[in-house]
Amino acid sequence: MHVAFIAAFALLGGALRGFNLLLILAGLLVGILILQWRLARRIAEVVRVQRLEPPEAFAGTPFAIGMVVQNTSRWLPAWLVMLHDSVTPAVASNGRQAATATSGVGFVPAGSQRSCRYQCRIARRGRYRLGPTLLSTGFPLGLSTARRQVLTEPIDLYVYPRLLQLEPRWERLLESRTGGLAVTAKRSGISEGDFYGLREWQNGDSQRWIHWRTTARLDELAVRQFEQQRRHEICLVVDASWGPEPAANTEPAANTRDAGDVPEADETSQQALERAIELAATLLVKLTQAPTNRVTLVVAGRRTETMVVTGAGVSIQRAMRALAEVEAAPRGELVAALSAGIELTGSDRPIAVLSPTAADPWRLRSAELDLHAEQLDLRWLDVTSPPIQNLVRGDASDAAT
Amino acid sequence: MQRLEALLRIHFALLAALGGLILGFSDDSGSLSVIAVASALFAYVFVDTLRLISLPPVMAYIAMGAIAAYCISDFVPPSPASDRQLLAVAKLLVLVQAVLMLQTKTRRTFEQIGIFSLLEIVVAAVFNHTLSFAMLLLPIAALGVSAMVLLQAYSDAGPLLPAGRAVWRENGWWSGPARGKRNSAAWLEVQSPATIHSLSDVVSRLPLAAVFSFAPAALLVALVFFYALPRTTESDAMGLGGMAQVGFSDTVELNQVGRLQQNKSVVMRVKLRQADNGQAYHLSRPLYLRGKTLERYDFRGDSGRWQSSILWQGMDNRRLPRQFHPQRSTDQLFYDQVNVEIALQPLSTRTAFSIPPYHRIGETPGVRHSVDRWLLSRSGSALDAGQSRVTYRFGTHAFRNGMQTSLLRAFGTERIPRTVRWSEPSERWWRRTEQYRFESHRLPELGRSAEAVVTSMSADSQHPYAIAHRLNQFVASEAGLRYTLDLSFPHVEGMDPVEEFFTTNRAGHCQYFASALALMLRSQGIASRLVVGYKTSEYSPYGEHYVVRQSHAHVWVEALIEADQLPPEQLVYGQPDHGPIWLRLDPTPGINDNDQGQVTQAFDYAQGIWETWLVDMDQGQQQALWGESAADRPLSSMMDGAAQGLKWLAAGRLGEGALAGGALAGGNWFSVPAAAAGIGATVVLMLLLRIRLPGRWWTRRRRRADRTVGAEPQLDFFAELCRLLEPLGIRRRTSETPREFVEGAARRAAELGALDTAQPMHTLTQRYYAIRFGNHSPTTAERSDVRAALQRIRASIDHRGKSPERGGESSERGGESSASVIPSRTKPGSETTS
Repeated sequence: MHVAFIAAFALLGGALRGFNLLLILAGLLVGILILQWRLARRIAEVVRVQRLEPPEAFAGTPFAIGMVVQNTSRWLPAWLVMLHDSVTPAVASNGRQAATATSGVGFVPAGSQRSCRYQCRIARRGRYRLGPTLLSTGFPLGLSTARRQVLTEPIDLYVYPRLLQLEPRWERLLESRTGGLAVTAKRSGISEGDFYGLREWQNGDSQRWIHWRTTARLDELAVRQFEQQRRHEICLVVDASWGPEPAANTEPAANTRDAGDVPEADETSQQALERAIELAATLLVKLTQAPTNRVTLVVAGRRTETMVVTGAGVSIQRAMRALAEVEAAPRGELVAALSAGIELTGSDRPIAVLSPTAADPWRLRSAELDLHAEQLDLRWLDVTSPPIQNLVRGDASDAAT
Repeated sequence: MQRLEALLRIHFALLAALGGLILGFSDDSGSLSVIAVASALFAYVFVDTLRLISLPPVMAYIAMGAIAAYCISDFVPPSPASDRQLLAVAKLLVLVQAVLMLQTKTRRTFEQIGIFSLLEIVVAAVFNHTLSFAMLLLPIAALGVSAMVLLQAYSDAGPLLPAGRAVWRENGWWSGPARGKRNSAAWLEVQSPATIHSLSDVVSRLPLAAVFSFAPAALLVALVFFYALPRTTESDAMGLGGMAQVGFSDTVELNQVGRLQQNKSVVMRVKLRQADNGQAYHLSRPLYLRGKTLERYDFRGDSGRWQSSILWQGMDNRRLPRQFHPQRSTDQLFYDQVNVEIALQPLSTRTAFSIPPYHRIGETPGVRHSVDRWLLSRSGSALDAGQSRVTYRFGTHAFRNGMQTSLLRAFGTERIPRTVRWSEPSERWWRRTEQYRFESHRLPELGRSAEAVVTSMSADSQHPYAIAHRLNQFVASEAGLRYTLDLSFPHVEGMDPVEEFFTTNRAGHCQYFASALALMLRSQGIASRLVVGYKTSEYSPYGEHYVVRQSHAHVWVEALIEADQLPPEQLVYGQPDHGPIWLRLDPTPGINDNDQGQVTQAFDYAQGIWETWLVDMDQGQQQALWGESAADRPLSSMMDGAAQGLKWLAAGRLGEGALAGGALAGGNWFSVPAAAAGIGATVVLMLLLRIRLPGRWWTRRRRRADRTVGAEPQLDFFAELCRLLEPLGIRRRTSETPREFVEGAARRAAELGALDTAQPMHTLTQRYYAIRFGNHSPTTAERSDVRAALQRIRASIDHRGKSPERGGESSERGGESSASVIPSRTKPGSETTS
């Protein structure tokens, strides 16, 4: 704008007073402005942008979003191409307005492409929308900026809950029936498992396990040793609720899911809830690493979601998305969630409830549950309790950052 | 980015210095140039480079306010715009820019310095109309374009840089916010080191790309804009800072011409062309240009003053006379018909210069003719004469075989008003008393010497023509007089200065010699007068014109010879055959008039083009440029010449001089149309054939010789590896195996500063072979290894050349690599199209 004013001043002064040098100066400035406008606009027109699929993102951990910038012009190179990506929480909330992530490339030759990326770190889990993306360039002189909206259709980006670092003994809790997780270990009858090593023959070993070459060399029977796989089947119930305890002698609300009834959580409660979700995500990831494990996940939040999670990528992704989007519900009964979990996993499988609060019998009272009371292997894991807190070493991102 | 910032600092320091230099248009503004250069240099060394001092913003604002208050005092009391006020504006710009230079440089500061430089150029365009403005404008323009494009890159990268000192983590994430507020929110942090690297890598190429892609087009638009814009006023040729040169008035004192001869400024450019074919006409002797005639000598005082006598009524302000046509056509063989074009600089008087006997060719609106004197004067007032240049044309019969005739009929073909004839009772009405006046008591020795010389002549040769020549010879070479411009002789009180020159000093310049001769002629009864003008032999081959400078100012004598007193062998051709004759006599001894060097001549030629095509462009010139008649259209005549030349080329007449000089050339030395056509043809050819610069051509040819790059690998993670390495210039050839490629790539990447790529590349290669050739399905752990390896390579490339400061925390990664826990369900790098 300054340059335009100076050009206008030079033009007027030169025309009125006959100063030809002012006129030539005005001509130069006008020429520069015109060419700047056209060149920047043309670059914006010939550049195409493609977004690479967003990677897995975890709260608090940096991840990269990549884009490919392609110059479709045959002779015009593109310079100083900047991309402004809009990142918006899918659920609007106070203090979380849309933000912009900027990246760019300095030079894209004619007819070729370059990639660019930016790194993000989102503090909270949830679903976010990436895009639309704005392309801009001020090449060459920055007197004007050409802008064009590319990638007009936003895409969803799921930021999964933060993963925790657990102490190695967490696996022992899977086998312990006291004060921790209870896991039914079941030997797999048919498959011997992964080859582990050689040992000498013992009573009970199958003849098929004999390693004849080593036996010939050692002149002793040597057998292959297998790592016996254990198959865990467990139901994880995520208690995503907060609020005051219901008054005595009152039935816990069964379907109180109205937003207006949700009390405002204090920071401690919120942290506890997030910790419960993070623990659930961590356990889910750990358990599904072994392909033979089977986890039933029940998310008891504003909506109750139930799913069986195996080692398949799609399955894990669905579960993590559910955990990313879980919204807190007012504290109420968990019977419906538990029943849904029992229905999928069976009443003889252990059920672990990950909760931000201590166990509340009122929330579990139900005639339906009473029928299964003797068979039910229910463990209430209060993430604020010392045993659970001692299990957590820290955030998985802490060591990396 | 440090390199970019360093480049920006030096660019803007140079801009500030050159902006101040371009303002150095006069003695008053010369100090501004010194201030600008000194402050730019000081700031670059002590503020930008050594970082010893820096003006805080508050102090800077206070300083700017004080400067504004100081400069505004020149506007008080209020008055119409004048040089002083514009000088105050220039002062304000330079001083404020100096304060800006003393501050720590940010993007905003750079912008402000650039704007102030532009304003300085605007002010200089008003003041400085000389060629030095153009010579400084070109580097300023190139520097300005370069600076602005670098500033644009800096503006793009600046918000992405970390604020303050960043602590880089192993995964490429730095702690702390970025400079730009836009890229951060309470819930989101964004960083883009890859973008910073990408912008930094192109810094060295940006200025050249901008200048070469931008400058020619901008110049073309500017020229079209300038020449097509309708003009409503006359051009201000001088600008506010220009001063008219000293001209000749009706009164000339002794020593006045001597002072002029010490000034080398160009006064006019004289083109001589043959009237029949327009070819340049070359002289073998110096050229005399007539300015003023001085008839009266002041005998009373001791100033040596000569004055013009008053013209008779009706003899002044006339149109130029018509061309003389002899009755016998063969008389035309004894004189050359030459057309003269004079481009005259602004002078303090209305004096114009001529080569008589002249006649009009077409209309000559810029000058008027004085009868009996053969003098030209500019139309309009003296003020107009001092503010604009004028170009006028006339024909002349003054030359023959390259020599200027010394005989001039008193009257041309114009009609003498009867009132003039009847005012004088004598039939020789043209005789003026003051042309004969001589006071022997004031110049006794002069008179005696003249008498002695004439007495020594033979009786039959004592006629005015021979006496005039004899006295001329005596003064020039026999009287023992010496030429000098140094006139520091003590003056004898009461003695006439010409007598003093002849008897005591025995040395002086041309005005003394001419005065002595004129007075000696009068002592012998021969009417004489002084003629003040220029005498030059400086020829410029570039413009094919004669250059006349103030140092060429000269005075000579004209002696009046009656027609019947002219010897029969002396014939006057090309002029009327009746009336008295003025005989030109130059008694000044020959002096070494050293021509200027080629550089000076080239500069003068460029100055002439600058004035003609730019500074003096007005409505009249525009119409002449785009006018109807081809003779009035310089552009059209050039294009016609080019077309004619091309026809000759097509007809195979290359060897006949069709393209050298003549038709296409503006001179034998350089052909502007041919050069323009050549440049235009080259540009068109380059666009059509896309011929690149040799460096890039060689690179493309070498790439083709390598049979280009190999096709994208089938496995996505290996393709991603190839994409990561491409910006480093590392590409896999079709003949390379993955292992060979990776070995070379790791080595090359390490050379480019991307360390820690060998091991992850090795991991990727192993996985590639296992999957591609081993029919192996990757496990979850292997997938996570692949992702981790790509992450490490990416981080290493992003931070190549940078030495990350390790944070205090452990650098080992946690048990979970959070970006790799979920098995991929789609190919990595798959794209969502826009």
